Amino acid sequence: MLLGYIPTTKLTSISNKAARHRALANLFHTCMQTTLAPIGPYGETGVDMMSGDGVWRRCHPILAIFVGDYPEQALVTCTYNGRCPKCTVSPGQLGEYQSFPLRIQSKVLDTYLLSDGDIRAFHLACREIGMKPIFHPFWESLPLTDIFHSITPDILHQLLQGMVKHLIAWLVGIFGAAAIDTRCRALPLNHKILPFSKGITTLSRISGHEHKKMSIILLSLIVDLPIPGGADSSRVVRAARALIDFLFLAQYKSHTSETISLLQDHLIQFHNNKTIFLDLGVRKGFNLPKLHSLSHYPSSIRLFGTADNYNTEQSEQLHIDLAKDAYHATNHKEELRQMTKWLERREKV
Amino acid sequence: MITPTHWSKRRRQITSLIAFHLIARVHRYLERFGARLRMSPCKRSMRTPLGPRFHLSLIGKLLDGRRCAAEPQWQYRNCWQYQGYVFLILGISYSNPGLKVVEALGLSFHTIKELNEKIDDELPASAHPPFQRKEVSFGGERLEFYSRDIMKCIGALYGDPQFAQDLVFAPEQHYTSQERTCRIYNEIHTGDWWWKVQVK
Repeated sequence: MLLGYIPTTKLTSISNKAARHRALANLFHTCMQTTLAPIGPYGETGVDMMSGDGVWRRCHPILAIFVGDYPEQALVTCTYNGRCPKCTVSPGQLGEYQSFPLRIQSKVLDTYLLSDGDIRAFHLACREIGMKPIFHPFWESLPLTDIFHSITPDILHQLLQGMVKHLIAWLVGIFGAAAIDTRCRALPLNHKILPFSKGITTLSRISGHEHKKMSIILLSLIVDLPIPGGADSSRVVRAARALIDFLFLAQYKSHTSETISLLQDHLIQFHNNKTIFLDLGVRKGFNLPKLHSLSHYPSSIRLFGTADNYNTEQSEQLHIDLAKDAYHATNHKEELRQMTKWLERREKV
Repeated sequence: MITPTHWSKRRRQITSLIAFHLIARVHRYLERFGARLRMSPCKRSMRTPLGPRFHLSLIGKLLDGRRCAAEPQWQYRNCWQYQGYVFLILGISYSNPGLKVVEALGLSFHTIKELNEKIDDELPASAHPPFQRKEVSFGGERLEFYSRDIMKCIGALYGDPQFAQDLVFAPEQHYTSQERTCRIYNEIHTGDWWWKVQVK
């Protein structure tokens, strides 16, 4: 169900760019706090509610998961761009396979409580812990919510539109676009694969669904393909295979503790073989937040179940229905008022 | 029969995975949360929740008192499509004066404005709460944003009879065997978060 529409102003009246970004973040948190404030007192004490079968139960509404892509995750957790929204990894170490401790919400909240006092001390304390100085993030008053645990993996943006997109670019840089396209065109037709009749390198604005279809055939395009220059391609194939195995395992609808440890093994194998991309010159470093986010997948699956429980594809589809279609139904003047009216009428019928 | 020594380690891993999933589908051992739940039934209600007849009555009002039978296409999920279908018919009848489809339908409205007024005034209030306008002043600008009362939204979703059979009220731990060596994770209630929050 749609809860509300938050203003999307650019705040152009503020000329300083940094101040404008800070103001936009504060605006977001203020609106979210106004919307989510009522559940604060009921999280601990509970409220009686009747379910559809007529039984009254005491319910405790608690914010469990925040689903969003990287900019939204950074906005909600008040972290800087280029850092992990969940853990304390330093900006230069995102490419390493190493587990860093998650941020502790109580310590972060102690810092944010200083915003009511001396502003300079508040800014210094925020800089020390590496967080943005936001006034009262919306999750500070929500009970039993640890926002750093609530940030969940996002297959669409982190894997499909992130690592798979990078991997395809690296492979095209190594083997050459012509070789990969030729192989792609030579693939026999099969009802399970999408036939890319002109190859995969000439496409632009590729959607997540198309990346998913490409990842099915990707390994077949590069295995046994010679690298121009005569280098050995076995490590490239090993690294690509590890990442594609990770991608398909992460999309499982049901996991066991064995499959989660396999997921970790594949990630370790990718990290062991990724230096081949540095050696062949297609990549200068691996400081990618999306690559680092893959290391949080096993813990999130253990906490909240499989990744299709917190998929962003559903919210992207709802964005079309509830924001784009609603906007098109208006005459573009005072659109929020018309959009809410339109939505209420549709829900009534 | 092919003995395991002929297979590579990888293939053994994959087959054992597939076997686990097949086993998981057939035999699954559940451990339910034993302690007193945070969300437990506290009192019974004699009042029946709104059912599918409520939605059919909406269609009856739109069709000028003529009650339509409980045909599958007039169910709640298709109401919105019905609204779009109506506009299509209105468009067709004005371009082809010979078509008498609109009269045959027996609609109680003739324009979209009339339809909107009927939806607003005559239909009973929906379970979803209305949007409220709020203002925030920021950087000299006064910005409006709309939101709904979140507790009423939660109540509407929780009390929806269509979801009543799908709601889960307690966390569970699923295992592949009684020895509880291999845990299964699929829905949110099979994860660790809800179990740990209950304990807190």
